[in-house]
Amino acid sequence: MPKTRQAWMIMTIVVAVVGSVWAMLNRVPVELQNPSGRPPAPQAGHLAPDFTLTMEDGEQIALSDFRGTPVVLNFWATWCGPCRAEMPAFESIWRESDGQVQFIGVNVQESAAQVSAFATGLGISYPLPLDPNAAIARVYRVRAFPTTLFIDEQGVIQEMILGQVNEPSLDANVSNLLEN
Amino acid sequence: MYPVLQIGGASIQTPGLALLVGVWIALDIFSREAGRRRQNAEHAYNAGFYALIGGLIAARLSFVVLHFESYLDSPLSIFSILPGSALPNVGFIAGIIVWLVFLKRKNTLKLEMLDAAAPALAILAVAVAAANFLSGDGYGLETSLPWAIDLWSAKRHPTQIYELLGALAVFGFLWRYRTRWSFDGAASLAWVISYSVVRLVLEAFRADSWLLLGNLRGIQVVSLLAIVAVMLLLARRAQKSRGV
Repeated sequence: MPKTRQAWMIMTIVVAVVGSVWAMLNRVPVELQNPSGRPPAPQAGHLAPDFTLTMEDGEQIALSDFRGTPVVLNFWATWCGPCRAEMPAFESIWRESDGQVQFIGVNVQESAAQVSAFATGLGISYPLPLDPNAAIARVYRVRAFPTTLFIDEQGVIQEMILGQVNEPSLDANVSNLLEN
Repeated sequence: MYPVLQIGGASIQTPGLALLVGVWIALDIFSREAGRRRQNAEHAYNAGFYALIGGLIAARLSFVVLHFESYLDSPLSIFSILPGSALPNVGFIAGIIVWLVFLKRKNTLKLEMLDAAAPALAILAVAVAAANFLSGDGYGLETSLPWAIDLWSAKRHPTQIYELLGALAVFGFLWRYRTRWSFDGAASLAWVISYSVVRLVLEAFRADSWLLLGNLRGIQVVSLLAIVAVMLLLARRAQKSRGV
């Protein structure tokens, strides 16, 4: 350990110079500097992994189709009580937003007939694509139903919520997406 | 990466569990160290506990205040504990304030108490690195090195493991020298320097750094400033002690 002020000052200058050179050498490459430059991953702050799925009417839908619009992506199943409980609020906000926010409800491992009957019964009109083999649910590491992701207009996940989303929390997270 | 542990019908968030275990061990070390330094060990433990509770409440309440209109129709939802309905940064700052205020009110906010906290802070850093490893946060740059880990569809530097080992080294250093510091506050300054060196070096391998002044890694800039500030403080102290 240095004993004198002079020795400390010399050591401080050496550390400052070496540290600055190290920091300059490790500047972040340009390709990693924008939010969508982050690797796709089911995690807040990352680009949401893209997918293409088929709806119950046979039409295809891709997440990347909605780039430029905030998306609420919900994984659900008809047997899941909390999913059933939260979906009317999704429908309500989707209608109110008038296209400013897109809701997508990915049904996991159920038939088109089941999903269609469920949607009619509950009055759900936002897209409900089918994930018959749970391939997309695995990509998104869905461990529990429902799982909901809030994705901004650049395709970056802002929030991921496991379990039923209550109305105030849904409202607040959608507001965040719109403010972004 | 194992973000969720499924035990029967229960889903346990492993990063949160790692942090909780880390906080528990850190509080224990903090209170033991405080006792060894003839400070009130009970106050040390309670300060950490209240900081944790205060931080959690502040993180949740700040979210509610920010989105107050959303809660007007359903005020009971304020008490719902959804992970996505809190502001962790506000909670962290509030936790530090609660910790300082508690110690101040108990007349135990002394350099010896801060020194007692130094090894505990190193253990907290170990817990944060472990939590990041479990969740996949704090991920590294892509690499072809043989010890690369498969994360987010690429082979990457295991930065979480680097940081865990770095924090363990800081803890080992502080623990080994804990009875040998020559003045009050030395252990705290040693923590600032050693942890800042670890962050300055290891941040270079991270792919998720926050940026400062264009493309500089913010953590490296902050760490370097902290190291230089402490060294200048030590230089000034050396001058004073020679002048006496």
